[in-house]
Order: sequence, then structure tokens, then C-alpha cells
Amino acid sequence: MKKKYFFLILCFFNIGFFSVFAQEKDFGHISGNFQTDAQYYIEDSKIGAAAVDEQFLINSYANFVYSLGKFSAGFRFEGYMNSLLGYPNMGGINNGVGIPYRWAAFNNENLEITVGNFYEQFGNGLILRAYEEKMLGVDNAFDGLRVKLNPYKGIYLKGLVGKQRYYWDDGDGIVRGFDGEIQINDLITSFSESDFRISLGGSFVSKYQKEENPVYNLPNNVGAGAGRLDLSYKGFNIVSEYAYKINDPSADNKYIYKPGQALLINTSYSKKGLGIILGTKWVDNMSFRSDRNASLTDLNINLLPEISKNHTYSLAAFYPYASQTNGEWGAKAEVMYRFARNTFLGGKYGTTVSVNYSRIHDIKRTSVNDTTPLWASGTMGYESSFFSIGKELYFQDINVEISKKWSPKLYTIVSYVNIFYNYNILRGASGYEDIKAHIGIIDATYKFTDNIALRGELQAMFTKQDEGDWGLLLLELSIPSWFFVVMDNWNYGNPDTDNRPHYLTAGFGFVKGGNRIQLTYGKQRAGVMCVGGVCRTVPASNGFALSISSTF
Amino acid sequence: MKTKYIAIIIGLLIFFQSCDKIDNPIKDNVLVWNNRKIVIYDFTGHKCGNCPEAHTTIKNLINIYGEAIVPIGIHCTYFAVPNDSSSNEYTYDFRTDIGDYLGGRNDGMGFYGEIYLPCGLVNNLSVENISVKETWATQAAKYISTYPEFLIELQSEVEADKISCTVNTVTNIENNRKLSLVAFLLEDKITQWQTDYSAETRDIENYEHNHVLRAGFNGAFGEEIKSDNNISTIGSEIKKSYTLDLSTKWDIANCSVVTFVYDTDTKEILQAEVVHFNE
Repeated sequence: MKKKYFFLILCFFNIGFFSVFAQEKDFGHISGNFQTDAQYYIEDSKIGAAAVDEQFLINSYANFVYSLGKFSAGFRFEGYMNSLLGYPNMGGINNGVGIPYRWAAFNNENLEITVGNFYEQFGNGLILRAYEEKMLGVDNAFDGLRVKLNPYKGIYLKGLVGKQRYYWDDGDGIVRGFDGEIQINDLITSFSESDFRISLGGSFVSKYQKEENPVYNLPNNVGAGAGRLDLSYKGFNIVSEYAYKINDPSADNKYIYKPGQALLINTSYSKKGLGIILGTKWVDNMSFRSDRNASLTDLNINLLPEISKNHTYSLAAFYPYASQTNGEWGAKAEVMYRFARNTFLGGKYGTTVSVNYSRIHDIKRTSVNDTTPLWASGTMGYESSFFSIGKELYFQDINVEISKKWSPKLYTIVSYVNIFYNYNILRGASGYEDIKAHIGIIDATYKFTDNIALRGELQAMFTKQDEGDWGLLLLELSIPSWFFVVMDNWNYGNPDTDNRPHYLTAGFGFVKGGNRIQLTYGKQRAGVMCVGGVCRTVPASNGFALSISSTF
Repeated sequence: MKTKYIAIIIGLLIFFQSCDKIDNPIKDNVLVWNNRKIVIYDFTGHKCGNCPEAHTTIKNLINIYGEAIVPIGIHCTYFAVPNDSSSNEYTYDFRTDIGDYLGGRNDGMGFYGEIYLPCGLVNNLSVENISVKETWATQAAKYISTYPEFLIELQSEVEADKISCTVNTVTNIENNRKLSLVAFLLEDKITQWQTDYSAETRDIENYEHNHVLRAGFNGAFGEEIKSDNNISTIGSEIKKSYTLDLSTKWDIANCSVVTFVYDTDTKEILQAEVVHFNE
């Protein structure tokens, strides 16, 4: 394996070397970035933070991209020595050093070909989205071949074949996909100047995995198709997609044979000072992986977009929503309004108010007959009507955010968040109470000069469930090229009065050009982190953390 | 150029027409157990020479179906009468109040009337379901792949001189049955005399008696836990707790609690659960 990587690197730099001689003026271009996150772990039984045998764990990445004319190539070094706690690493599967991502591509007369690794998304990702999210340890890149074709103006075609990344190897399944999109305004010349814009698209994805189950007749090939329609007229915009997947018994759906469906509609309207978003999502049995026995974040072919707001403030993100691929219905509404300057509510500098609401339920399911329970393996599992909504509430989020500039020096963001969180469903647990939490946040930034600022966050969460009330205070001082942070996250309302720890953190960082170095010391509470509805568990930790990143 | 593009597109489209629709999910000749447990009452007696054949029938069923089979050995009739203490053999008394009530004590008849050992009941407590061992496998096969209408969560523990158990009956398939719940204490590995006509020596001194009924927590036919025909919705629960006085006659390490829920009207046993104290 190492010889293979060495050979690839050699080829990679040889390409650049020969290009120097082959083309006197154009030597090509190399760009890239580097990131390393390291942590020294200290045992802290009071918060449940474990020590690690290595004492020091480190995740590192470096991307290198070479481009010359119509040709480009690249690779990514990754090193997990060993993998930071909380990242997917069952049995040490993620530990190691190597080059798991390498690719080459060329573009010739509307035909673009990529070989090796690549990421891709068809439409909104309902049946295919390969992506990486280092925060979650997600990387389901394809390893294979992709062809993109633009045969006529306004017509865009994509085809791919590949296996998906599974830590340092590829998964068992082979994924084949095709996507076509027609931009009507580009295709029909008389519509090219129209304010009314139409885009039509369709895609088909099939996965192959050999059937070897002793009990069930499993499909070797599972196909999924999707159609989409995007419309826009001036400030109005509608994005919609429907997807259907044939029988795909898997560990996710307890080996039922029911087809899957999903519908996504997002609408928006915007004009100066006003933005309105309405959206809905309905999902029924749409887990789609290239290995039917995979779990967690491994080998997902698709990604069902989240419909709830992805909060960035720590306590607002304390109970984040995790997408339920086996079935969910959700709706969201958001209004953003900016009160103009020099008005009663706008004040001298204007005020922006944002109100966001999202609600997510289970879908409605009934038994396939009188003698078969719901989710019985080897059956259709259940029946559900299209766009049915079940009684069980999974999640609700009502939040209001007011952003206001008070003076050239002072800027504030004040937020209120009200969360309902179905703990048992969203954490895959049982016996827990549903969480009902109120969260208040004040974020204020005071600029002493153009490049010296002090930012403070005061957050409080009030809940009678789980670990009770939390508070958070953060101060961040920014001076040219440097920043300093102190933070205390305090579980002051834990029902167990002997267990009300402070999670203190202090750190500083240096930022210049494309370089960023940060060192912190402190405690991290255990919790769940989600990005785009995909989540990972974050263990409690105590220790030093060093982060270095650079781009060139 | 256009011909090349069209060829590529057609090639891709053909390549991607890959879907396998499955009409028969279960492979031929494959047995699927869907977690429904099957209770077998084995009316037996230590002086019943044909009864070991019924014990063998149960062993064979356990070999095939594993934990799906929940046997209950009920010593009764005159075959269960012990010899007096002056004898060197068959002095151990396997009889219980429940066994006497169901199968009969000495020469008297019990609830099931005149029965001829070995005989038993497979997943149905009705009198007309009394059957000979040769039919047990066929009857068990009838239930093995069906789904349980209820799931049972059973917890049991021994504290001081009491055995307690908590039984939570959870609806798995919506139904409108009246329900009754039975909880028994069984004991394994009792080494005592047994008559066996199929053995070279008819009187076996160290015969291992397993799943022997020792006592009931709530009587021979248990307690009615749902007395109406209202709908039991999926996930609805009925929780019951019982206690039993511990006897010095029992080796608790070899004991287990067996509980099952049955339809009060049809007497069909709908689901069972077992907890062994040595696990």
C-alpha cells in the first residue's frame, strides 16, 4: 500500500517537473492547505473525561492540487496518530497515516473526466451526495470514474462509477449514477432574458453489493431515481425534488422491503430588507448506503438535507436535531426583516430581526396486516401514505434573533431559542424524558479601534430535564494577528447537586495571512455535535488542544 | 462529435438500469423465527416409563428451535407419587399444588380430566388441546414463524426469603384480546430417580430432570390483566409484579422464572419469556 502511495506522489511531482520543460512559460500551479488538530488528554473523573494510552492524539490533513491548463491533479495526506476521541474509530479502524484521496482530471471541449477520488452531489442530495465533513469525521468520497458533459448549451450531464471510502479502504458496494439537468433559459434563446427561470433535472443511482444472506433474498442491485424542478421569478424561488428508491433491505431499516420515498420543497422570497423562507421535507425509508450492513456515518450514498436551523451558539446547539432517514416529516419557516436606518425600530444604524420556526414529526405508519408487527424483517415493514404525518413529535425549534449596531463601536446579537427535543428518538435511547429548553443569548462586540475588539457571549439554558440548567460566559479579545479567549460553561442547575461542574477553557491564537495557530487548555463537556443533520457523539475531555492550519 | 456524445449517453443509460425487485424476501427452505416463544406443558411423572421419550421430544425441539421453546415439566397423577421415606428410590416429591390442580393428584383427575402420560399442551391451554408428544413438533412449527402480538419484559430477583418478578407486557401488534398472565418458577438439573422403559435399566437413579414446575406466582391460570375487548395499541404496556416465598427445597441457582401471556377466551399463548437466575 505504501509503495502505491509513493508511486502516486512520484507521478504527481513528475507531472509538474516535465511540464516545466514541455512548456517554457506555463509551469502550472500548485495550491493546497494544511490542518492539524492535536489534543493532550488529562483524566478527569468528575466530568467523565478519560485518559488515553497515547496521552496525545492528533488528526492531520494536507491537500495538494496541481493544475496546468485543462489538466489538474491532487492528493490529500491524512494522519491519525491516533485518532482524536469522538471521531468514528471503532476498533482503531481510523488510526493510521496515508494518502486515501488522490485524483486527476482533465477538461476537453465540454467533456470533463475525473479518475480517482471525487465528491459529487446530484440535485439536493436525496439520492446521491458524497462529501467530507472533518468536524464529524465523515468522508464518503467516491473512488472511481466521473464524466461530466455539456453537449449543448443549457444541458448538463454527469455519470459516475465508484466505490466509496471506508476509512483507509473502499466499501464493498459499487455505486453507479447518472444525472441530467436542463436550464431552460439557456437552452431556449428566447427565454434567456426572462425573469422567469426554470431548471429541470433528473438522476438515477444504482448500487451493487453481492447478496450473501442465508435467510433473505436481498437485491444485488438497488436503484433510486429522483426528479427536480427549480423555478424562480425575480425575488421568488422554489427548489423541489422528489426521490424514490426500490426495496433496499438493510441494517438501517431492519431488513424490510418497502420502497423509500422523499420529498423536499424549499421556497424563498427576498427583497431589500426582507427575506422569507418556507420549506418542508418528507422522508420515508430513505437510508441509502453502498453497504447494507454499514452504520453510523459510514458509506452513505445520499444525504437528506436538514430542515431545522443549525445553531452556532454552544447552548443553542446543545440539543441538535439528527436526521431520521427511516422516516420524518418536517416544516420550517423563517422571516428576516431589517428595520431601516433612522426609523423608530431601526435606530441610527438599522436593526435586523430574524424569526425561525421548525417542527419535525415521525411519519404515520400502519401494519401491513393483522398478524405482522411494524418493522418486521423480511416483510414490507409497514404501510405509509405519501406525506403522512405521525403523532410523535421529534423536534421543535422556535428562535428569534435581533442584531443591532448601536454605534460604530458596539454591535449586539440577542437571541431566544425554545427547543423541544425527543431524547429517546434522537439519541437512540430509551427511558429519557423529552427535553423542553429555553435558551437566551447575548453576544456583544465592542471595537476599541478598527482592529482591536472585545467580544462577549452570555448564554443561559433553562430546562427541568436531563442535566438541568446551564450557563456560559465567553470573552474574546482580538488584536492584530492575535486573539485570546476565556470561557466558562457551567452546569449550575444539575439535579445532582454534587455534580455541577465548571467547564473552563482558556486559549489564544495567532492569525496571519493564510496561517492560523491556536492553543487552548480546558474542559469539554460530553455532548452531541451535528452538521447538516448528521451527528457524532463528543466525549468529555480535559487537556491542551493545539490547532494549526495554513493555505497556500 | 454529436454521435460520440449520444453513444456515451446511451451507454450510460443502459449501464444504470440496475434494479432488483424482490418478490419473495425469504429464501426457500429457510426457517425464520420471529421471536415468538412457544410454551409446551409436559405432563410427566418420575414413575412414568414412557415419559423420558417426551423429554427427548422436547430436547429435539430445543435443538431445532433453541430458545423459542419454553418447556414446563408438570409432575402429576399417580406417576408422580413418591415412595415413602423407608424406600431407597423414588422418595423425592416433585408434586406441586398447581400440578395437582392441572393434571390430578394420585388417582384423582385434575382440570384437564383423565389424561394419559406422557401428554401435553403446545401453546394453548384449552382442554381440547391436550395432545401426545408425536404431535408437538407439528404444532410448534405452526407457531414458529408467526410474529408475537406481545413482547414481554421480565425482571426477577431473589431477596432474603422472597423471589420477586416484574412482568411488562408490551403490545407488538394491535389487537383487541382479553389477556391473562401466568408466572411460574421452574428448576433444572434435579438429579433423581426416573423410570425409563427405553433404557437398559428401567430405573435410572441419576436421571436429570429439567424445567420442573416448582411453584406459581399467581395461580395455575394466572391473573387476568385485560378484561375487555378494547384495542391494545402498539407500544401500550401492562405491568405486573409478583412475589413468592422461597423454599429450602429449591436450588435457586438452577431456577428460572417463566411467564407467558395468553388470550383469556381462546387460551392461545401469545408470548412467553424466561429469566434464569444463573445468567
